[in-house]
Amino acid sequence: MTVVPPPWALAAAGLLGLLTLGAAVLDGVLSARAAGTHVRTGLTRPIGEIARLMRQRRRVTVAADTLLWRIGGAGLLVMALMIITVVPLGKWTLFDLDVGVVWFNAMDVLAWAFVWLTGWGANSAHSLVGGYRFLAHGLAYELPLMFALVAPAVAASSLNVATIAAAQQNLWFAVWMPVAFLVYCMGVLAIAVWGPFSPALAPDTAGGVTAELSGLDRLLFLGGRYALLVAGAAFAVPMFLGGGSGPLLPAWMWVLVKTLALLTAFIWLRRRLPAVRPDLFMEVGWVVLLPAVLLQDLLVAGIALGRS
Amino acid sequence: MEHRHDAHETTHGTDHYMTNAGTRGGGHAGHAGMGHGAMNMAPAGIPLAIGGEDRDGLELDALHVRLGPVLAHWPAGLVLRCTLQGDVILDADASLIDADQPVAEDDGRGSTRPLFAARRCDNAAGLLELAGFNDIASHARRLRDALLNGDAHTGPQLDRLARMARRSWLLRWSLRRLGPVTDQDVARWHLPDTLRGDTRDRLLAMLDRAAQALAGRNGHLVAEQPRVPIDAVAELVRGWDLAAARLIVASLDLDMWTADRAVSRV
Repeated sequence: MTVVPPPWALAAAGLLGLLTLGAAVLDGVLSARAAGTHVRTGLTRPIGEIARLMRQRRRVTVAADTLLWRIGGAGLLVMALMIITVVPLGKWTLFDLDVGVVWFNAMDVLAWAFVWLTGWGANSAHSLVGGYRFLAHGLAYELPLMFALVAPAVAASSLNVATIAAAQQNLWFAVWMPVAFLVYCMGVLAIAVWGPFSPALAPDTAGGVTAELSGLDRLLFLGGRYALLVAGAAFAVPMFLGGGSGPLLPAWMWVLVKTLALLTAFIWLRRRLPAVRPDLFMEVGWVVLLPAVLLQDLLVAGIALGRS
Repeated sequence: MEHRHDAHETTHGTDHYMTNAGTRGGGHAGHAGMGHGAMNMAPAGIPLAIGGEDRDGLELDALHVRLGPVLAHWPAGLVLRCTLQGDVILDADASLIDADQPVAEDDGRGSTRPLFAARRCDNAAGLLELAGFNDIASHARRLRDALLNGDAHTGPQLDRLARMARRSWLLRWSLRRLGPVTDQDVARWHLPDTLRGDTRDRLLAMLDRAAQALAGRNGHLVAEQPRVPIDAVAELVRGWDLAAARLIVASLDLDMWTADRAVSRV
């Protein structure tokens, strides 16, 4: 594993930005197709929206907690940037951390703070309801997500992301630990407040957390959601999808191809799955997901023990 | 003076404000001369919330939030004044804006069958959108537009939409048991009998009515259905959380009370 010098972080951020824009465009195209309008509107809309939000003046609410509001709004993007620092692109990585998995976990927990703060800062009832809806989802998704991250680490006997990727030479972890993989994917959708986990931004509360967001803050928050989908998909590649291994193409290309494939699935799923109200999901999280992923961990630990 | 102020703050000041907040937090105006202590009672001119009786025993502040008259996927003109604790609607009071205005002659109820069906599709699209079923909601909206444009062959499309809604087990899981309306409720508030059941039943009934109207089977039904009384709306959302309440209101398949032929553009 080659650790590239720090200036390459800019290139990584640029790549993240490109994929984020790609995700937004894909979502626009799928939405346009479902609405029966021309695909071109879906292509151009994200670009137009970026231009509009960059020029828009910030809306001000009475007695807003401006500092915390801004921190929350920009936070999701920062999380995504932090996550990709430990994802190896082929043989290069920015940050060859011994505890890369724990790093990802620490970053994903930040979503609790950032999404809630965005809801809190505006001093609006709808925003705050949205913020608490996210926390309620968090209570149900966070523990299963943590235990899902445990499975690949146990199987590879390491918390280092590159080592975990290398441990999948013969068989991807996604194949023989499907429950952990699915729960991980659910966790990524959740931290991105995406698809089934969008009640925090739902139209029934006038946009929930985003109800009062405008201008640059809105752009950062919405862009941050797409960026988190990208970062989550990218992190899944070394964790579950065999890292850069694959025939013909170079390793870095395989990482990108796998990331794009998973990202496309995430974007597509939004239109397929309904929003899940936190009160309903609480039951699913604790009664179904948590026991399922614990059993998965037990199975993986047993196999790992038998091998050694 | 400085000393006295401090003493006031530390000895019984806190206590005083606590009681005030607990019992009549709105009465901050009487303390205007008390310097920053009184200012804290109304940051930025907004009186602090007052705690209220809480069904869960959490002693949350009661928050007064108005839903409507303009809101996405909401019957235009309807205003619900809600008292929220957390996001649970403790109490609600319904009213209509421009209630004294005469209702337009052609209000989408007794008019042409496609228009009646289009209104049902629009309401179904709103409910589906609120429940987060974006794809089925898009179908319903496209069908609404087709009906308004007078397109032919809308019948099979409507059947397909109804089939999608009926078969989706996720939709059933998400909407069942929400806002049940019993036979007694129907009798008590003189509701249309299509509102019986839970929110999912009402969604299916909505699409069923549209299909019947297109097939020309319910000419008498359209005209004779009673309007949903406005107080029943408030009664039905009481005790539910905000998300459930929005779904329940959307499931009531309301006709426009005020606007003439307005169709939501969302």
